[in-house]
Amino acid sequence: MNASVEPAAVTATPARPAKRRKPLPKPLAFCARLCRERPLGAVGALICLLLLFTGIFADLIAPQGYNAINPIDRLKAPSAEYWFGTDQLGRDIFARVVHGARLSVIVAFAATTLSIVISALLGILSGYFGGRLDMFIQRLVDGWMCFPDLILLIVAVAVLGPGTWQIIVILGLLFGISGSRIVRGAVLSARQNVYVHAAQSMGASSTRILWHHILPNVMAPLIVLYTTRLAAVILAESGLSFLGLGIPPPSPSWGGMLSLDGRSYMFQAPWLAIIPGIALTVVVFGINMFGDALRDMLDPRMRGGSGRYLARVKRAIGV
Amino acid sequence: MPNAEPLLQVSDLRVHFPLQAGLLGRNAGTVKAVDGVAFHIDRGETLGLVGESGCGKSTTGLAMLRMSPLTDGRIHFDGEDITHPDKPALKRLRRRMQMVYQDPFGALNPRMKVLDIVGEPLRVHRLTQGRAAYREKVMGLLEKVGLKAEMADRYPHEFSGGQRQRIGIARALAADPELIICDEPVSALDVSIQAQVINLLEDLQKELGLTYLFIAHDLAVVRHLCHRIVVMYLGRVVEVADRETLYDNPQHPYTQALLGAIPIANPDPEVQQHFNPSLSGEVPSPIDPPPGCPFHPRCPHATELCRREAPRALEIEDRHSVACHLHDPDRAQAMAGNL
Repeated sequence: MNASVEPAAVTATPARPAKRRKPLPKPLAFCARLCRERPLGAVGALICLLLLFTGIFADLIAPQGYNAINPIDRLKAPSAEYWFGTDQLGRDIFARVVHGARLSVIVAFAATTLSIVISALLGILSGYFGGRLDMFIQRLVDGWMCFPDLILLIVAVAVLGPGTWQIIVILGLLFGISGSRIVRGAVLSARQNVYVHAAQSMGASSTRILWHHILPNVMAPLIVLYTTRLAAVILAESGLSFLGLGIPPPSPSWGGMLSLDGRSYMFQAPWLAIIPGIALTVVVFGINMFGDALRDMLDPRMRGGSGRYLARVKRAIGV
Repeated sequence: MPNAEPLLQVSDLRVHFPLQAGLLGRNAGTVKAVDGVAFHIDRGETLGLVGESGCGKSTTGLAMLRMSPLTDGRIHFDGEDITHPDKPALKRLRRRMQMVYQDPFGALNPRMKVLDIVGEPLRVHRLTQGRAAYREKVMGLLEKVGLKAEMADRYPHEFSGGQRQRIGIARALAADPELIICDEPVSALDVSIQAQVINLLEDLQKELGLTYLFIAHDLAVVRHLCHRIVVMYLGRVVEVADRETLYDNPQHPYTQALLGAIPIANPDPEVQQHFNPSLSGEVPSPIDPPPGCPFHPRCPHATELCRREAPRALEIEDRHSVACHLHDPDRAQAMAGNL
């Protein structure tokens, strides 16, 4: 209907039924619920936002860059000039932490996105189509999960060499494959719905069923998986960098800062280790809190792992 | 109205499910869910499919839509062999045949609006052009099943069980099907709502010339709605007859027992003494069905022959066939000799 000509439109438009009142757009309402029901989760969300902000605007926050060497100001304690102190080359720790946030954000989001895509693809293929394909994929996943994560990571780094994109690919693959189990489980349960049967019986294509009936059921576990993986990826990247297998210096990876400079000057300049350690702790805590809150709000079935496990054991043994 | 050619013809249908045990999927037997079922459905009629739970009636219904794997047998729909349809044939079939489900809560996707639930067959088969036509068609369908057109923008959780079942029926009607398979469509509803939904099904049949395969275990509902009734026991058809014949003159001992088990809503002791749920024992497992007639362990008239040999379906009068040795003239003599 065109309402460009005012008078005509007023007379021509039939009385429309009153639009139903909508209290808040969905994302805003969700934020309000988050703050009300899960204040700690809201704090976590704030920390995540802060991390994102720092990562994106690192160049504006610390314009001198993470590698500006200033030998005169070596190992300075935190002061008004150097908020977080300096390291043995006189580099500003604040700048390095800020740029480290950018690195963490890049690695975390890229690797997590990759892992979620892998999880979703494998899980949906395996869970929805089932049969031999499921058997095949699941045995491969079994084989992959037989190896301890760290061993796989070290082998992969040894083959691919250290570097940002290598870490992203390796972590994405690692978490993606183990996460596919969770997606598969969600798909298996979604597939049991009578409305999926109904869609099949009316001749709907697999694509249509997956898109309209399965994926919405898998979305909540996927979002939850994403947030929990985000923290795990940041930790794993720091761990690898700490071991010298991650992103090589002089890139300001928090894990690398902890290990290389932090350990060497731990007694002379403790802030070298403390500052990146705190950054890491706060960020992982924040992401985890936010992830937990999201899980509780989006996917009540996943709440309280041990309790549910106990209940299942009790049911199994018939107590 | 028996037409020259039945709409659906099923012969010797068998659906067996292999049982797998252990890690390696060792074959641990077969569930013979449907084991040699034959019947036909005429155009415009309602065929009732009754039997205890687990007798294979739902599996039979699913086999019509080609939703369960066939082990053996043939299915013809409107003269076309649909036993092993190719992809386009299957899609055509799933437009002309639709299903109404038992569970009015599970059958509708809670994340979709009624508009998209009812309209899904339209989308799948590309039956309408444009948003406006689509909406109009869905609203028409909603009105046809006794709902208001403006309910299209609501979600399933805003409706009662009976209303949801109406939505399910509207969805089944969307693609203008010829045959609707109703799998216990009213057994999850309150009695008062049941009557409304049954009347709706009847009205729609009259208006649109639909054919129903009505799967149920409630014999009162079946008596009200169905023209002809197929009685199943343990994956086999034991008796087929018109409604009046079946209820007035059941011939198979199982049918007799089934009808005898309908409670009589009359406290008068004289009436009550005719209420005689005489059947004892349990339905045997379809994994290991008894040899011979599947009903013989529970049958009051069972003989040696019944234990040995499965009875064949015989037409004992016009439009009334029974699978029982008692009614097989050739066998009756043998049985007499045995006794």
